[in-house]
Amino acid sequence: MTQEINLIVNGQSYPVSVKPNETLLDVLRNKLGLTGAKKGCDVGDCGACTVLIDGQPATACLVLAVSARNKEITTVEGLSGNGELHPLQQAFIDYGAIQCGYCTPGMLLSAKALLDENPQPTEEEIREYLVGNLCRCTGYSKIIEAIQKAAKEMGGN
Amino acid sequence: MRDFEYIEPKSVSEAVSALAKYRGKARLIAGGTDILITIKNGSASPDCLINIKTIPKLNNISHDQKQGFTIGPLTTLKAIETSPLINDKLPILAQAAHQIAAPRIRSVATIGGNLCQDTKCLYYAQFVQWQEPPCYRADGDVCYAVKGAKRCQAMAIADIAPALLCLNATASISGTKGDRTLPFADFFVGSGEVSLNQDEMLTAINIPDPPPQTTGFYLRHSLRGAPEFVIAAAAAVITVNDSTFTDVRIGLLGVNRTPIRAPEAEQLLIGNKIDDNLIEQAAQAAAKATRPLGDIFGSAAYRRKITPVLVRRALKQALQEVRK
Repeated sequence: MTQEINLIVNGQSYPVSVKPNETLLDVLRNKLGLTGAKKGCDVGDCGACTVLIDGQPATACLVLAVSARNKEITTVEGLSGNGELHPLQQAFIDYGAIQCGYCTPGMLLSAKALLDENPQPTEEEIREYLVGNLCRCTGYSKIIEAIQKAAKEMGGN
Repeated sequence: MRDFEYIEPKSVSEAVSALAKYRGKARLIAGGTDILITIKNGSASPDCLINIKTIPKLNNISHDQKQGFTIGPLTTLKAIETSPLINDKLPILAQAAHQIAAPRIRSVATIGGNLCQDTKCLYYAQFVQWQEPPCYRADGDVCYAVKGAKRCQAMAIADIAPALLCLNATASISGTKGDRTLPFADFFVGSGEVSLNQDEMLTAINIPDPPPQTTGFYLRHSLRGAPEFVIAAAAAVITVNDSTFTDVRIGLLGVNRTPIRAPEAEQLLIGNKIDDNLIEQAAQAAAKATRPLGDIFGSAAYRRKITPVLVRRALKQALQEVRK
């Protein structure tokens, strides 16, 4: 039974038809063309589909699109603004935190949610917060470093 | 994912009526982090999902002098983890919530969902096409985890449960035939099985005020930390007066079909002076309450062996908390 709903993604309203069994991940990627969120496992284990819903990290492959209507969804496409990368994105590039890039959108959004809540996290706190985002390439060190560096820059030090 | 009908009830009575109408073929969805996985891998095939997150007033944490604490079943694990009230008065719950999964799960997953979660036995929680024929939990008649078993052998692993057992919490339940209350000690039947009739849902978690000088600690053991399902866990809630244990409640998870208390261990400590040797004896006695099963995460022998370690550490950490 298709419903007409409004998804508010990165500040923009997208009217879309969805069936109840369509996940937010599939609708973002296949209907809205926002392919930043990745389908790594589709069963909630890897975190590659992490998006923010009302500022909180969420697992898009485990959210029914219909239940996300009228909420503020942020995808990695929404991190940059006015042609400029978010400090987190720039730090990931500068500090070698990206290899294949598949985990990166999820990592960036989890990191953003962390820094919104805790602007100067310790390394331990970063590792703990990112525990739901898996990376097969980097071994995590550069990702952690990039987040620490971005946090310093964003904290205005 | 298979097609299903989708309902957004505005009240508990609308939700339970829908459950009754579908006669077991409808399932509740709250955070979605358990039910959607089971639908995707084919182990659950509901004809209808009832989104209870649209029911107002089921997601707060409140306290009053007479009732103690009331936590709505839709309260997210994140809300419990960060609640100033819970961190102040029932910190063991915040600890348990904090150690579950990851922020991207805790922000949407609910306490009710954690308690009612389906079994995580890997012989079941996998693509149903790989189970031929289906196991007991999937309505078949075989167990792949324990050869020759006559019924499902999976263990319930709801991280919130041991603390609720220690805190003497009760469940408020509503169904089409009315409301009832049940101690959490009687709530868990097995892994993925709770004492809810087909047309019932959890509507509150009630926790009486703990006595003064009471605190607790929840220690969760898994292979690699949070996102892994628990191998074994111990909750210790203690009331201390003048270097004496006036009350001790020990809850265990992953060492029996359901979460359990360890009464032999508790009795060794209650009324006695705090003493390392006695704590060690109690920790060893706690192993007596265990009837663990082996699975891919840990053998039965390992779980029995790790129980006294977790109990001892949980008691000692709880003592540190009291001294603060």
